[in-house]
Amino acid sequence: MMPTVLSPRVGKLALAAFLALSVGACASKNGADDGSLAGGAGSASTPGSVQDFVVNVGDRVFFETDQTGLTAQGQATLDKQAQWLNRYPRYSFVIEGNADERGTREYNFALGARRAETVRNYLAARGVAGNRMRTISYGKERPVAVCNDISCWSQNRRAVTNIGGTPGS
Amino acid sequence: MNHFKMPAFLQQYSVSSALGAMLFVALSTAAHAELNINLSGGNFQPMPIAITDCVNEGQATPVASVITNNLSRSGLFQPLPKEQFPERISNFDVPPQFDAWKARGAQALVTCRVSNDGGRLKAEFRLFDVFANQQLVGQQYSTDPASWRRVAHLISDAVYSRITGEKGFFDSRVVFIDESGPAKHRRKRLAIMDQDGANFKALSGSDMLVVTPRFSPNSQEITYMGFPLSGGDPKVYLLDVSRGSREVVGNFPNMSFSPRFSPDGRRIIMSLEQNGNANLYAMDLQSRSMTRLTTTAAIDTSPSYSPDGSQIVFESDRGGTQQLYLMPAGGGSAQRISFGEGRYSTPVWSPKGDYIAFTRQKGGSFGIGIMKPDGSGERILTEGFHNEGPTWAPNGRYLMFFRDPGGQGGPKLFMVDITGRVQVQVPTPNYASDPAWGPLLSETR
Amino acid sequence: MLKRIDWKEPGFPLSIALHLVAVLWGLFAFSSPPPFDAANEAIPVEVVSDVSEMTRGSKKAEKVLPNTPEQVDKVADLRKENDPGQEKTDTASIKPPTKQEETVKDDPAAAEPPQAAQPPIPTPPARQEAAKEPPKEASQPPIPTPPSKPVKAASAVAAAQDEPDDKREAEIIREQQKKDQAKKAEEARKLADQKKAEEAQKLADQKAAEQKKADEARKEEARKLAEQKKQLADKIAAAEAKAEHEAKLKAEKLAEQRKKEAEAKAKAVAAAKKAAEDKKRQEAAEKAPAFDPNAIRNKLMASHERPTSSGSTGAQVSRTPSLGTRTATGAKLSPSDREALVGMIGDQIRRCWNLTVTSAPSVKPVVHIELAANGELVAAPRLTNSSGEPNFRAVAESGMRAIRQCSPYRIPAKYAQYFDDWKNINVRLDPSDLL
Repeated sequence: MMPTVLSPRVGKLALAAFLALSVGACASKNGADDGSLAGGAGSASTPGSVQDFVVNVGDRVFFETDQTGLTAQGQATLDKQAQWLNRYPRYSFVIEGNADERGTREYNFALGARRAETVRNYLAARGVAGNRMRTISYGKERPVAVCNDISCWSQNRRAVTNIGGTPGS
Repeated sequence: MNHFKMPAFLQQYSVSSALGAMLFVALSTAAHAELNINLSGGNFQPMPIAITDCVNEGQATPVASVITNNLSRSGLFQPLPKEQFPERISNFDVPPQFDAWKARGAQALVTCRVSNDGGRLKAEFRLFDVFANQQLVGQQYSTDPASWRRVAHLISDAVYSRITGEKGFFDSRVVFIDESGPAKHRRKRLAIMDQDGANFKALSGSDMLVVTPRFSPNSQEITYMGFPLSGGDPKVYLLDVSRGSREVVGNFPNMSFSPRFSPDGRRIIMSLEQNGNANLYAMDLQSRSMTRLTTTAAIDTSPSYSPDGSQIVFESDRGGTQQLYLMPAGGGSAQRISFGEGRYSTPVWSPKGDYIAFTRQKGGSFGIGIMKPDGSGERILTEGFHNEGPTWAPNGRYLMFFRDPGGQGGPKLFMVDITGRVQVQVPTPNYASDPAWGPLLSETR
Repeated sequence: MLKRIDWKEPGFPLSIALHLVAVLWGLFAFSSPPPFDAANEAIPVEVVSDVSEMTRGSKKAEKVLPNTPEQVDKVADLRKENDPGQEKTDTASIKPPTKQEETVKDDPAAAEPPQAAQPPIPTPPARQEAAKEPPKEASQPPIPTPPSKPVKAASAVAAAQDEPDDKREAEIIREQQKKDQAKKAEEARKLADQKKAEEAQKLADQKAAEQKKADEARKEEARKLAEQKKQLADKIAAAEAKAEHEAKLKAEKLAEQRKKEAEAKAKAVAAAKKAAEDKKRQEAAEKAPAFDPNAIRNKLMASHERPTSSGSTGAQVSRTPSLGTRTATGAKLSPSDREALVGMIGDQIRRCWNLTVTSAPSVKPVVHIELAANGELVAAPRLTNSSGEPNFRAVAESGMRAIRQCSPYRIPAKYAQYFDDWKNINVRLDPSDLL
């Protein structure tokens, strides 16, 4: 996320407004991306690109409620991730752990960290070098789906392998 | 406004008091012809009270309305509507017409007077017991005119204290997270305000996503978990409120979170994450030395010291699910104290030491509750989706917490008393979460 | 967000640049957050002092000083309004006032120190109060008046206890006095300027209280007071003599509280005081027309008189065999009837009891009340126990407020014959079940 600027200081207001606008544009673009995850512009993805990883491999795995163990589907996804990452070793990346909103804030930070750690350990076991990986937890602070429904919650309980460099969802 | 309800626990009959009542009746019956009535429980209607406009009160300093709002929000008082006042207090030094106020049902009466005392604001008040026809307390304050709200809070505290026998809590501030923007990209910044929502002020800029702030005992420092938006691990920070200086607490490779001050303000206790586990550490702010307090392959977090600093209550999933544990402040074996249904988290020790507040999750519902430090006497004060993160009022009789309805909505702050009868929303300009109630300002210097 | 980066997209490089600028600028601008003025607000307020109590015009005006920890004080204040004789007995039996007695001896004005109010001692007759109050008001309105009166009252009460007969006489006198006083008071109102009248009355009261003789009034109203006293004296010579000796009585009380003469005197004094009070009140009414403190007292007194022919105080009287009426009947309340009555009265009090606490004291306040046959309170409720717990006083006070507010109590006629069995009631206030 870029900082949204709110400063009372005179003289910076103009810049602030400009930055705010740019951030707004950024945000809306990201929102669009979130919605088009599954579909993806497969044609646009060059093998070995970030987009290739996100669309064709799958950058995230999902977890059961309050669980940190991998599902069968999650393991399959991570197998593909490991394969891809081993093929393109130039990427170092961050594994972002997330939790859904049905938990308390502090616990969820720890829970997200555990999920990220689970993914990290799995990839390491599949031959991905440990020094390429970093983990971070966003707890429940970065939901990708927002509603009071299991359909949303299940999307938010996730670990994302972010090879794009910018903190993401 | 307040809504009153009767939680289930109120139906229970306390054994000890039952024995006392039986003893009382038995003793007196034997004695002689006196009737003995054991009055167990009255009604929970708040006490009718009249708060008259201060003599000389100007629009710029509506002291009486602040007092009225405070007392009303406490749930223990029902301020009489102004239209029902039988008289207008024009002379602060003349006794009120007790009978007239009695006739309107007011059990207590507050009168006040504000005046300019050489550029200072002088405020005086009297509290009367209308049915006893007597003044219960009267005080006078002097302050900078800009601080008239504090005077109103101090008067509120004096009234509250005299009637309830408890310390007041109105002259205090709350640090919390001011939230804005859409749910997916919520902006969260540190903010501070008076207990009643007035004097809102943002304390952090936009370079960081801030959560879980907590006051130091003297309220001059705030510790919190911050996410640099430029990337990097979330860390525990320490903010000096008066100087505006900010620093990272400790230098650890991984995430640190869930900080809280020790009662003497010398230490910050927090969770450090390592290999997917979270353990508790205490850092001495003077020497910067770190003491590891737990060593489990589990999530230990949300630590809170007992008021005397001798013990720590925290949550851990070492037994499989989140539960509350007690251990000595120096670490050592921990004892589980929560045994009800569901998962227990965010324990916070009351400043009086008599209760531990917590969040309880059960079947998708999030309740705010209290229990005694030995785990007994649990009561859930409010329940629903999604209540979280209680913090104690300085007098230990109220809790503030946030409630997030989920979806596209956002969290708001609420206040509930420890009987669960009184629940009011705390006004904030935007969405708000993670409140931390500071000490009484009058006790911090 | 997703990392799907499209370098071909024209906006992308621009976005990068913008974000970079934003980050750099943000780092620069926010690296050290600006100081907040929030801290500066910390403590601009100081408690200068307590606001003094208002003595003016109200006999009840005495307030409990903030420092006084126990409710007892309040009780004492409340009782001031009641007939001294009745309360005296109860108080005396419960807590023999030692210190208070001393205060009695002292000049009323001198006795003002607020601390006096500790023990639950019945409030002294109106006269004394009036006497004390007037001087203060004259000097400066917002001066705290100490409840020294209770002490005096206690002593007087104690003296009064032993002699029911005297009491009867005293009551009769008192009634007459009341009537006279009321008339006089009204006249006084009309005649004199209200403020002047107040001052005059106060002065007069002071002298009366101190000297027990009707001082020749410096002002007309003062004279009226004197006249009242004289009239009373005419009716009962004995009473007059006693009144004159009131000062002596006080001294005697210390030494001998239970002398019969003392009681009679006390009553006479009380009557005189009441008259004075009435006048004061009426005068005070200038500012507060609706203010009628006497009404309650009168009610209480009236009700008080009814139950026993003698009209003497309740509890003690009942214990004294000489008062025939009470013990005469063998009627005893059956256990079931007793239970029903307890429920009935308890329900009535409960409806008025607004709890203002969030926790219950471990010691439960027990309040003693005495009812007249018509269900009215004969005297102010009296707290019979004590505790240092902060919420003890809160619970006790809220309970006593409820008891006062709920009076009169509805007692079915069929219980009338058992009056002796329910006229004295102890109410144990226990909110713990609900907290």
